[in-house]
Amino acid sequence: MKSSAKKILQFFEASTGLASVNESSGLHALTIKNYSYIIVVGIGLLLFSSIFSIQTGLADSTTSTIGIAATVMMGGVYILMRSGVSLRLISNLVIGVLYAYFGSLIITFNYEPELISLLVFEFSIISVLLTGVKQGTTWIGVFLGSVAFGVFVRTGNFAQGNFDSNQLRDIAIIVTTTVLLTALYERSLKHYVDLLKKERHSMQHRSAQNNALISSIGDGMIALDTGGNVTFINDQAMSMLGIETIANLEHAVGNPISQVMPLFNDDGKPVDEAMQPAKIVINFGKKIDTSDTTLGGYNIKNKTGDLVPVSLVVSPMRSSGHVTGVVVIVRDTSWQHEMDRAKNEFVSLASHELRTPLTNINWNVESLLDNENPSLTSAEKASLNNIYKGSQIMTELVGALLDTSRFELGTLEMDLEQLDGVNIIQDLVDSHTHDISSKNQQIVQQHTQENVPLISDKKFFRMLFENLLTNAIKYTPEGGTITVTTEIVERHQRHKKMVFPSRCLFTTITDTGVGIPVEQQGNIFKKLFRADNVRSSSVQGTGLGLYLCHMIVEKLQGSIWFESKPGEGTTFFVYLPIYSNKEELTV
Amino acid sequence: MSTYKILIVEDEPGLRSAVAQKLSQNSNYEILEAANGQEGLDKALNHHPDLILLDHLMPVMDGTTALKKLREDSWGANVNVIMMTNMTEIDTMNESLKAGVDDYIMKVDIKLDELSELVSDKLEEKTAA
Repeated sequence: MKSSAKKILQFFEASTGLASVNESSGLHALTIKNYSYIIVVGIGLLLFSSIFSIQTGLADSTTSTIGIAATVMMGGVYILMRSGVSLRLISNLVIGVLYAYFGSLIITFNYEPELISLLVFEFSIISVLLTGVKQGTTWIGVFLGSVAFGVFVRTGNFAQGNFDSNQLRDIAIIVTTTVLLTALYERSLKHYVDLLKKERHSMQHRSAQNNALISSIGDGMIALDTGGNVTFINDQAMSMLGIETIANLEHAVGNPISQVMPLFNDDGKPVDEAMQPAKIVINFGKKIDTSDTTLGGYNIKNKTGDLVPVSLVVSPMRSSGHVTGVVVIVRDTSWQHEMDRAKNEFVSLASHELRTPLTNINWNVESLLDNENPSLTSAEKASLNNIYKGSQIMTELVGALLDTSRFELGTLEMDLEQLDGVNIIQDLVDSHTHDISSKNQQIVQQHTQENVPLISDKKFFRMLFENLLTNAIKYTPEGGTITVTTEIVERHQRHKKMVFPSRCLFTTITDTGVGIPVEQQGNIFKKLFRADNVRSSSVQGTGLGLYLCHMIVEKLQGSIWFESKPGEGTTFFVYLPIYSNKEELTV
Repeated sequence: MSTYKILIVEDEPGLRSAVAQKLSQNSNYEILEAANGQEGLDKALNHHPDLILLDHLMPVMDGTTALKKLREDSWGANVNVIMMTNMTEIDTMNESLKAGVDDYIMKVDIKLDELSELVSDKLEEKTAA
């Protein structure tokens, strides 16, 4: 636009106050600006024709008055529209004016053809205004048709030379109302656009909030559609996978997860198609957490191509009952692996460092005490025997402490296999034959069933019964009796005053030993606890055996308890559920 | 009666001398000693002992590495090796077994007499074979 033309327009706009040149005000300003000139000219023409017809006496006073009234009303509506009064109020005003005007026309002109077109016109306006723009679209067509018809009839009159100022006024009314209505329509459209903008803004805000939330999760997050293609990937997942540029991001979104995040086993081989967690979840619709399952280790490759151990939580996204995609949470577990390694290394080294000097003492004392060494006096031999005994106790203590540390640090992994429980217990009893006979003790074994296959961890199982058996032998005086019984108790069977929650191997180890003082019975499974009566006796112990037993039984999902009478003896009861597959014990 | 050469590879002098002293009570045994894996490997390849008692954790070269290298040698591939350790970790045991150890003992759990018996059993087995 030329600057002079722009200046004239600005002057016009400023003097009429009709349109804003402020472009930032958007659709509203533009719409009003486009229609303002026509509306102003239309209202002016209306005013002129009404005054002219009154001045010349060409029209009767009623229609002229109505013309003036319509002019004033339209001007009013326009000003209201500009001043931002609510759309509903303006619509009601327009309907009111139109009803008044057309009602008076019907009375004055006795149903002329133009009037019929004007009536249709009126109803279409009302329909548009009342039903809203969307449903009123059809009516807009009817309305425009009737306007065209009215104009056609009027111009026919002009052609025949039957011009009067009433007709000029009516045309002005039709044109102005049309434009005014269009402007209103645009404004209502703008109302919707404003709503949409507002909605979009709040959606953007929510989306920004969600993005911030998703980004601040320390874990990687990837969303997939049901075809297994990536629909979203967060910053963490991108940096874990070494996707850092926008170009790479475009390669990620829309592509299959198997390409974006290929998974590898611990040995670096690609994970089988059937073992892909995302695929399993898409097919079966059930959440998977790889850290809870026996699915095995999963690894991804980072930017430099190194394997990174991860745990994956894959959850289905549902919409009205259907799986519409999955969300994959990827957690880098390398620090956990590193911790496990460090813990293992610590215990392993501690074990070595503590045991080596003990072996040194043991072997050298053994060497000195050797039968073929005649130079020792009996007093020296007695001293060496004391050293040896002390060293043996120390060795036992170190072993128990290391086992306990391993248990507490969680470095003793469960290694599940099928065992013959009763057979292991029998073997353990046999291995103590020497200790039992050297104390003139009797051992009684009662096994209701031989060959009881169960899934368990051999080292835990042995550790548990070895500790209980050693305790029974240790704390039973010479000539006492130790009874070991095993039986299978079925699920929900009532036995020994209790109901068993599942099929189990039920073991009892009874001794005729010193018993546990009643007031100390509550502490017996506590770490490093030794009851007063054994602490004051010559029997050596670490206070770790029963603590370990308790931890083992918990790990094997069983129970351990006891009945004891000081001076008469103690019975330990061990309940270990019999599982037929490994999953039951690990889940 | 034939004479056997036994190589003791152990970095802890106290343990090494105790075992050496115990085994040398048998006049048929010629005892060789080494203080680390590398020295042990060199002595084994030079002297071709009948049996090697090999510690696990040692400076310069650990027992498993020495064993792996030994097994690469045509003579060393078949020599009897008893791994002695105080490491209780399953991984360590598995690693030694993979490297081709014949026996695995926990030092802290075995008495010198028992070790001596084990050695003579292994040598008898070898003679019988």
